[in-house]
Amino acid sequence: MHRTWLLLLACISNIALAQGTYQPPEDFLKETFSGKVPEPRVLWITKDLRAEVNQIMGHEPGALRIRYWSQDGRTAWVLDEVGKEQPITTGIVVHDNRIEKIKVLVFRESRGWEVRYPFFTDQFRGATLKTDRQLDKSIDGITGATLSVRALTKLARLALFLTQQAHLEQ
Amino acid sequence: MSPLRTLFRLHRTLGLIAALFFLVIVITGLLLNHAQALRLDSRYIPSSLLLRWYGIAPPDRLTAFLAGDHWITQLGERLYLDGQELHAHGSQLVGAAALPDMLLAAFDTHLLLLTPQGEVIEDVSSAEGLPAEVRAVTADGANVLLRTTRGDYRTDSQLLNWRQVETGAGHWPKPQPLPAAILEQVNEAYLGKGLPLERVLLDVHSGRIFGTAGVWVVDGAALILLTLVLSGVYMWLHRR
Repeated sequence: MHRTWLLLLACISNIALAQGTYQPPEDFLKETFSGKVPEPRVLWITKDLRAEVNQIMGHEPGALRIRYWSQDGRTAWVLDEVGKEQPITTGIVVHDNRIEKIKVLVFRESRGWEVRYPFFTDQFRGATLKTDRQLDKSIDGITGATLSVRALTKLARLALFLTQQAHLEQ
Repeated sequence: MSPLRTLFRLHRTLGLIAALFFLVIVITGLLLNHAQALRLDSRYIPSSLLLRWYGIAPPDRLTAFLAGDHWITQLGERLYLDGQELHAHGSQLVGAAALPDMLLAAFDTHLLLLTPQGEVIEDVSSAEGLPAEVRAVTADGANVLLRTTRGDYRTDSQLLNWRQVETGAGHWPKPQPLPAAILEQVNEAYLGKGLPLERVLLDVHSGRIFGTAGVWVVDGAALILLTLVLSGVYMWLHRR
């Protein structure tokens, strides 16, 4: 009987904790750059970039410039994309044009939060962008989290693309 | 009087009673059947009477700040640059400022950087290092000054870094009453172009435009039509 209650409590707690801030973006940046976060830079989304971003994300970019942090060949992005109805804030680190790390920082929906776990996000490690702007790796989905999976996949592609553009500008 | 004659009189009376309803239902039904071709969802009825009937009216909560030559207004949860609605939202507008090549709308939890044409340049929040609990904003040339519950901050025009400073009392702009012309534009923008014709036709067709009573009336008309069909078929089968 006690085990049943404990199991029920664990399930409720899991669901209750599904939404929320898993890691503040500022902490993500400190963790990424070992406490010494570099000065932010901005990448302006020109007309040409806009078309490419639109192709990757399936919609117009929400802003004319995107902030990023770069040091020693590593570039960190904090990007948002809507899963089903709410944006998922995601931190992405790119190194040598490959995904080094992808982390869900803030999850605002009641379903699909499984994408936060390493069993899913670790799939992106080492992924790079092909010429058709798709990832060179196949990412396995999660039943019941299709839209969240799709959102993170798009953000990974976007981060890789933006990093390429940022390097061209430097 | 024979039963058939009685039925005929009933058939005639019911038909006359319901004729007007049938006319409305037929016309709205035909139009709705071709809604896409007629683009009914993009045609609007800008009737203030209808908008009032539907209970659509601008909210009371309005906050406006003057930023350079532009007005930044929050009406309900919607944001406007002069009379143009912006594709952005904010919690509570606490200030606005004009910089040499951009405008700034400050909310308690984020800043919106805009072009003078209203395009979003960036939405700056704590993720980008914005100090928490913003209460006011002002521009000092190309720099931005921010007042928060934890002190004042200064940044450059790029709004990339924030540095805590002592500003003293300073001048922190307050909300101002909107000029009548801008207020009218904002209200019009809030109400939109009016009600989509398709919406109104659907509600007339179903009777919902008059609430539950309207729905019952249309149900009644449908039952009358059923009675007419049955009585008509009966009379035809029993015609001499």
